[in-house]
Amino acid sequence: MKSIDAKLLKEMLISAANNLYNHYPEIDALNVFPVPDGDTGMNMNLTLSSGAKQIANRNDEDVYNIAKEFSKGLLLGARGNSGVITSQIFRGFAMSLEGKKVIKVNDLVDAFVSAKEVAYKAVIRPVEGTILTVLRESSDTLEEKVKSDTSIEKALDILVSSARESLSRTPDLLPVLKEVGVVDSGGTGYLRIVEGLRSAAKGVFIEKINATETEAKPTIFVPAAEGEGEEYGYCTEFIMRLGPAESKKQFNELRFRSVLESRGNSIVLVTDDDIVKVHIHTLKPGEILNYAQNFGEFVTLKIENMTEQHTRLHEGAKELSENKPEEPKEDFAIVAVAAGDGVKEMFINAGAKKVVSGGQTMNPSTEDIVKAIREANAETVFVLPNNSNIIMASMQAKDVLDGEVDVRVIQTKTVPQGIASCSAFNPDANADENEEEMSNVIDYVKSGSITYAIKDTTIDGIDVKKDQFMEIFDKKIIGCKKDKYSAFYDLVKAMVDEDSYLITAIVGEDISSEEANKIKSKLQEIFPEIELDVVEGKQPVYSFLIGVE
Amino acid sequence: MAISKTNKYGTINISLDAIGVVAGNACLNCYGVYCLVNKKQIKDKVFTPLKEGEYSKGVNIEKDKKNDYVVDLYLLLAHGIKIPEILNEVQKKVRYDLEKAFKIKVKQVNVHALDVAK
Repeated sequence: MKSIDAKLLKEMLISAANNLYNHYPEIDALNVFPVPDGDTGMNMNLTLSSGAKQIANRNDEDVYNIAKEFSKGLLLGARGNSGVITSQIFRGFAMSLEGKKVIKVNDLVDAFVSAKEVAYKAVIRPVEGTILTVLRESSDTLEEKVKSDTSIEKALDILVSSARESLSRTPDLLPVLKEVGVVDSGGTGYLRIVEGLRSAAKGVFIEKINATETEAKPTIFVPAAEGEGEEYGYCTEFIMRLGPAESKKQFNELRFRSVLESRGNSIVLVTDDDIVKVHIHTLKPGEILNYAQNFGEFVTLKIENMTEQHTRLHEGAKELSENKPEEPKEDFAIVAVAAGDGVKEMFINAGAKKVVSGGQTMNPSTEDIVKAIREANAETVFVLPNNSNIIMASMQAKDVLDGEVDVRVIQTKTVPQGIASCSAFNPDANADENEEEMSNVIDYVKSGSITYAIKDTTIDGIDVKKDQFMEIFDKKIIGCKKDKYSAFYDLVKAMVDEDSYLITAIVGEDISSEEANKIKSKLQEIFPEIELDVVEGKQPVYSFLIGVE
Repeated sequence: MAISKTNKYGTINISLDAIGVVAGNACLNCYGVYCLVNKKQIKDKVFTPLKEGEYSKGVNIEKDKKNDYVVDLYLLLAHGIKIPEILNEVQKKVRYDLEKAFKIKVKQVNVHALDVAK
């Protein structure tokens, strides 16, 4: 093949986006740099999907238009560092194709060289061993090896193989990658993109394997308090393409904005070449739409009646309280977050009124917590997140319910802390005293857990092997053993000191009742003078959760 | 001194400037950041990129009563990128690097993008 036409380029780009989608969880797992938060794959996937959506319905004749639209989609949808870099890569790619109808092999080389240049333009001190390195090295190899008589397929083969080689070298360039034993996540994403391009160029279009769209959940606005005389009207959002010039008026951003301002509030106006995005709260959306149509045609439109939403939310809240008139509000209630039937039962026994399902790897949403707090039906509700990742959601729940319920978030980061905090609750004390006491008790609990490793790595100088059991003591890994029981005894010994008087061991769903009994008698032998509590928590992920007081 | 600790060998003192340098470096390593600028230039609206060794001038660090830190960064950005995403990443990276390097708790990272360099 000697050239790529617009139709093929579109297929190639969509195929690249799909290939990335099919692999994004594994890219997430590689994410250790710059911040190990495991979101690179998802961010790149959302960025590319936004580009693919942009060109999905286009039937242009020129490759430039397709590439330009794709890059515009990426820019609008860019998420995270890697997403922004990817958007720059395709911006450069598109820029070099200006005025081109088809891509010949020389144009392809130029496009990737331009992609590299544009991507590097926005960074002063590039860190080596990242997506930028993979991009640079593969583009350089492409420039070096491709002659004017090389076929497109061959050129893309060179690109993919040099990207793969470059990726395999990233651990040598970036020490943090080597320490954890992974290749760069953004670089892997780039490799998946070029693989997708090559595959479609060779006639194998890559489909999404799992067809479930990961669409962002619509945000629900909950009015914080009764707004006084505030106008609600319609939330109107649209994206508009300006022109064509012969039938539409000239667009003037300043004038357009001032017209919007005279008709509504909460205005967001974004323009990019010929695309205008508008968000406005107005009482008369029709007028805005008629006015806007003078300048171009709508790409997408969304209008929602906020007054309805507002009354519905308030009615919903009212219904909830009206439905149970026989139950007067209690003074206090405790809402805890926990996973596993046994653990939930423990919290109920310890005095919690509601337990929200959730924990490590399955965080509940703010909505779930808000719902549980409302159902708890009390003047003051204490929330025990029991996981550092859930504290934030609990705080948001507190904000949402500001003025409705007095919510106190006790910052428990582990289940043993939560249980201890829950037991410290005193119904005779007032809210402030309880909050203080429940928070204080957290410091006296030492928490540990045993869970399995998902990959080989070295953390804090300890060799961790896949499928072995890690001993975690207050967030630090102190050891790793093949056998979970020996890991358990090891960890308990490390946690107990001369002041300890109570050991609580919560065993996970992977451990039978007989084993739990054996553990209890063995612990009794080792620590004869300490009180023991072995509970079947049936929690997932963690084989043991241990609290020592 | 911003950080002072005592252990059995003696005391450890780390200045705000030292923390500023780490914060500055972390932020310059981020994609889309063009340079740090002197925070005193905000009023002049004329910005000169800070050179190596001067990064602490573009960073402001304060410690509150609970020993939590609040970091302010003053920067110029590169042209043609999605700026909110970049700033988000800067906040994440600076916070992560500081917490890792000094074991301090960073409560806030405020990024001030003063201009976009074309």
